[in-house]
Amino acid sequence: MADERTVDEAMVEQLARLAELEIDPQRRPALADQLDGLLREANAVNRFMDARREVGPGVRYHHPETRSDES
Amino acid sequence: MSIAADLTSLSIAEAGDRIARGELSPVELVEATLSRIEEVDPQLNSFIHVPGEQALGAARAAEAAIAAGYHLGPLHGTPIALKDNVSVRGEVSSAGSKVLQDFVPDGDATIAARFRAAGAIFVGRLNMHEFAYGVTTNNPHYGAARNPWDTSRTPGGSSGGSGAAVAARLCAGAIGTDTGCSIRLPAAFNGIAGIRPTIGRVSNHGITPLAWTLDTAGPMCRTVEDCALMLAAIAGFDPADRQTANVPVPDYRPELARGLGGVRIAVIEDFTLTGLQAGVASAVEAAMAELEAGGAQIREVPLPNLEPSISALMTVDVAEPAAYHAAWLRERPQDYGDDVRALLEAGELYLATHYIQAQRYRTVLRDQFDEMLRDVDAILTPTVPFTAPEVGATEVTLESGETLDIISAVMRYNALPPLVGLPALSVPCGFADDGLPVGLQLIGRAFDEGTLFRIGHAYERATDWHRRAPSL
Repeated sequence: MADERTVDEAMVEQLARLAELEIDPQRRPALADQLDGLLREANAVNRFMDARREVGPGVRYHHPETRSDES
Repeated sequence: MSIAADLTSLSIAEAGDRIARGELSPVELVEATLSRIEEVDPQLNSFIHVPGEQALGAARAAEAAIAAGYHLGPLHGTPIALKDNVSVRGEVSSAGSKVLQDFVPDGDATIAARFRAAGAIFVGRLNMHEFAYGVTTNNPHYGAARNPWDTSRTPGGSSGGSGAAVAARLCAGAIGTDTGCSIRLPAAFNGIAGIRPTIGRVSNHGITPLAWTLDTAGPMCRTVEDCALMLAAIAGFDPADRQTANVPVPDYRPELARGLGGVRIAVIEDFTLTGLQAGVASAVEAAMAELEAGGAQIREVPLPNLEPSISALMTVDVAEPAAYHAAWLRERPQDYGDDVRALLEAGELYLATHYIQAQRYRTVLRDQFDEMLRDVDAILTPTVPFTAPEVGATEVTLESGETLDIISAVMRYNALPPLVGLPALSVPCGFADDGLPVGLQLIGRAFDEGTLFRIGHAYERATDWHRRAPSL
């Protein structure tokens, strides 16, 4: 399974630098494992939605009936 | 059983009726509650703080008001407790964290203010998973909360203190908050009822956020009727929270009395009854039979596209908390527990497209649920596929033999209502072979919590699971 990884320690370091977030080097291996698992799941959602580009209106940040200014 | 223990076993409805008739003193009831907390909670660690003198003062004020003819309704004089992420004026409201251990709000959360206006008495602040960001209430700063049915087991989370305290008769009702599961999971693990209201039904003003597009607060009680009474007291539009809806809050009590005749319930094909611990499956099947015997029609309905649900929930529930915690994570990362810190750090490293696609998935799923709920009144699932694991467990092995991290494992059924924003009620429906409680989840239409209360109350009238008490 190791060759299927999408995240390694070096990538955690790079992403953290972009986010201006300091990660203790000792924590990087565990965080790489966790992030690898989470991104694998998030990528599965991406693939599912890739096939549904026609779905509108895209993102509803509020469920329509909960908008107090529209009620 | 002593008289004091008898008093703490009263439901809110029962206690409220006796108080209204002048047959029960709020002071006596709160004294009995505080005594039971002192006696039992060392085994459970369900409370972070118990302001006994304040509670007694409020009880004396309630008693005097009622004696003078000012009765505020069914909650007046009844002892409830709030999860530690709900702001109360002048009380440390730490959200179970070290980061906020010195935070003393200068005002009440809207729901706390509404409870005060209804005359409820706050007997304490309840233990929770740090910042509500986890499912076990194994809190590194305030200690692990424990399940009253077996103290070697977790009460679940993040509202684990709420679930344990209500089940153990340490308060008549409690508030939980639910982002991905945190009312319904501890309700199921502790053998009590809990309602996650429709997003927008209850104000989040003054409640420490976890994930803004998923969060909602709701009642956790020993009976469905009590959940209805508590929800009626706190629900409704709040100008301080723009996500609340201007939708009228009904009087739920007439709905409770309607029974199951004509109620249509869906179970999801190849989903509702698959992959369950044996004792959970038999309890849920027996509950379905009971509902049918009472007059409900149950039918199996397909609901496609559920596979990405847990992943989508996790994506939103990792990205949004990272945004809320960004500054603290940089300034004082050492003040977080290891599990919460790791999730927050991971959330910083997601791509924007991951978050957007997960939100788009919610739109797809919501449309499917709305379509299904045109033909049925509620959708039935177990609340959790298994009973409460050991305290400290980080993984769960499912009936299939698959081992999952505990968060993903508890989300199988729990993830659906928060993703679609619809209300969901968990009611106790029996016990598995390990002696631990099992929960049944009912998902309903937007703002139709009343139908869920109707079904849940009718089920409780036909069974006695909700009357069972742990032997503490």
